[in-house]
Amino acid sequence: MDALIVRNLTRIFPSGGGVRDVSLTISSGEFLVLLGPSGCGKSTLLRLIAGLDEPDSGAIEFAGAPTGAEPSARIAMVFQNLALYPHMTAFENIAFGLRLRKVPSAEIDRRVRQAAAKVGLNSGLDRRPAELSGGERQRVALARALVREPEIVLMDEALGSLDARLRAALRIELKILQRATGRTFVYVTHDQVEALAMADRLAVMRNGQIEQIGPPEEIFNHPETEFVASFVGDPAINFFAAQKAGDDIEIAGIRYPMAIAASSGAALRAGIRPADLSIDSTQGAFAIDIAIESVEFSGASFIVRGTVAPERADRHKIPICAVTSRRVAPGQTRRFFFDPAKIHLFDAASGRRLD
Amino acid sequence: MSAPVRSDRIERPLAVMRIALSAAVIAAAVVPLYLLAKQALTPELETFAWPPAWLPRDLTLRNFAAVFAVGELRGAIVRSLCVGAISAAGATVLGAMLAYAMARGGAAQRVGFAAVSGVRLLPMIAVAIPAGIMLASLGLYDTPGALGLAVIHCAIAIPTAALTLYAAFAAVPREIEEAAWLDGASPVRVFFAIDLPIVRGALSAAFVLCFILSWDEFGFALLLQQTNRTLPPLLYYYTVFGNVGPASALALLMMIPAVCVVIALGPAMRTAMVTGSSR
Repeated sequence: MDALIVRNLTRIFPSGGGVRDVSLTISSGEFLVLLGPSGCGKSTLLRLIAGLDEPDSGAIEFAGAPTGAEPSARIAMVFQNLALYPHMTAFENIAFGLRLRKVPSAEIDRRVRQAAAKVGLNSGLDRRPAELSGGERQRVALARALVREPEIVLMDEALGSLDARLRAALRIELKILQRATGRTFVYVTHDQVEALAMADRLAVMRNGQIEQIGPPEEIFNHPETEFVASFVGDPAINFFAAQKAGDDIEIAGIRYPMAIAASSGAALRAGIRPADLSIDSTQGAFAIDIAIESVEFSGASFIVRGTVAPERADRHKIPICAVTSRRVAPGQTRRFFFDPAKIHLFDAASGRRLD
Repeated sequence: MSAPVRSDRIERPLAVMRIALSAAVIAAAVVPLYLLAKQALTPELETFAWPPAWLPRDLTLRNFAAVFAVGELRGAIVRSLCVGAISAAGATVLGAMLAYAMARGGAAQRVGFAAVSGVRLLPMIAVAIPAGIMLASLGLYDTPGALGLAVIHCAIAIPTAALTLYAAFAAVPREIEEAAWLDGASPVRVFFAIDLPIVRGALSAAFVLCFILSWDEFGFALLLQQTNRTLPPLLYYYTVFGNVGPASALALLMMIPAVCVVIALGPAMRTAMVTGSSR
């Protein structure tokens, strides 16, 4: 079932930012993540859905509600800066919306405690936000959003500035909570790790438009544009200038036999993820030599950075990154292997994927 | 992280300078007060003695007795208190509304700042006569209750209140209001249930400043309350008639309510209390 339909939504700010002609259908009960760099319009889209801003054109339709109806009852939002009411206790923060709706106080008490328990806020309900820790404030903000039992919960960089460990923990809790409550979550972030981890469906935005929308695996494994390929993934995908030469494709000055529907001599961009480069020859038919400059141990693997070898006088050094399971020594040149199917090819002019 | 440690070579001269500067500032405030108190507590002969002495020789409460013997005094005190309280309350409420509009930007901000600065730049006494005529036509000129003067003081104090409150409202993050709106609160509700409680410290500060402004105001008080006087004109008449001793005693007494208000509301005087609202 669709929870929300966004039709041709446009909202452009004098500064040039905003969203341009965005259409999007959000299913009931899904965890949708809007991902993009700052200024890509993801927060604007969220604010438009919340009704905090008016679109220049286009419409937002809620399932079973006429357009332009008061949105607040069906929507709750967790703000980037949390926006807790500083003069109220945690309990009153959570209860505020219910009090406005004249819910009987016994029920308020029950629902506030229930919501607090749901988000793991077990104590401190009688304290003001200033007396709570960052994680507790986060939980109060979340409980305040959930207590009204909205159909859609909007979150703007909700885990933004927490420390890494707490963030990872809350990420998992949030996902479990969303599944348990069955609510629709729309979550805005610029952190691609967070986006890939949490999303049922992921929309990558750029310049006010959605570049690609789909399950996170599809975004990662089958990026539709060069931008999506480069924005998602850490360490970032390697990109090389490439071109079609006869039946071959020349990537970083090396010719590989690959069939592709492009005219000969067409300028292409070829990308390969660091994890798809292997020092193990069984991992692929193609090879590339890398002059290794640095090796970082990341716990589970080694991140190897270097340049494509052999260096040639007629071109600049081409940086390249690979992820290996064994330590390799910097300063030496090694051969890395890859599967041709793992190469992502894009049209250099339009940035669109070629298959 | 520890604070950077500075060597004594830098720290000591700085400390000396700090103490010297503080002493100078305190002296500038305390010396006139001391002289005033001395005048109030000694016979007038001593005040005019030559060469002037720093220490009083002959302490007396005669000047205070003279002040309390004046029949007008009680009425003037009550009148000044009422005018101060009413005008400060009015200016704080109206100033809060103006400050809120200014803090939320747009045209209100530009117009608000222009209006506020305009009122403050205007030599007040220039409009005293027209104001008196307007009050007279409303039947509020020189009344025993001094309501007319309270209205004028309120108008004068609005810019002070607005400027005091502006920073406080501007410090309230927009998102807090948006959160309340999404929780189902109307804009009026947001203002009264969210913004006002957050800036309540600044409201106290604005009230105190406006009260003191009215308490000390002389020009309008002199012209608009010719017979039903408030305290500053009363003090003025003492001075022009050469009663320096009683005038000093009255001046000293006049400071008491202002000091009380500051002491009572001082701890509450803060700008917006937004700590803890965000991460």
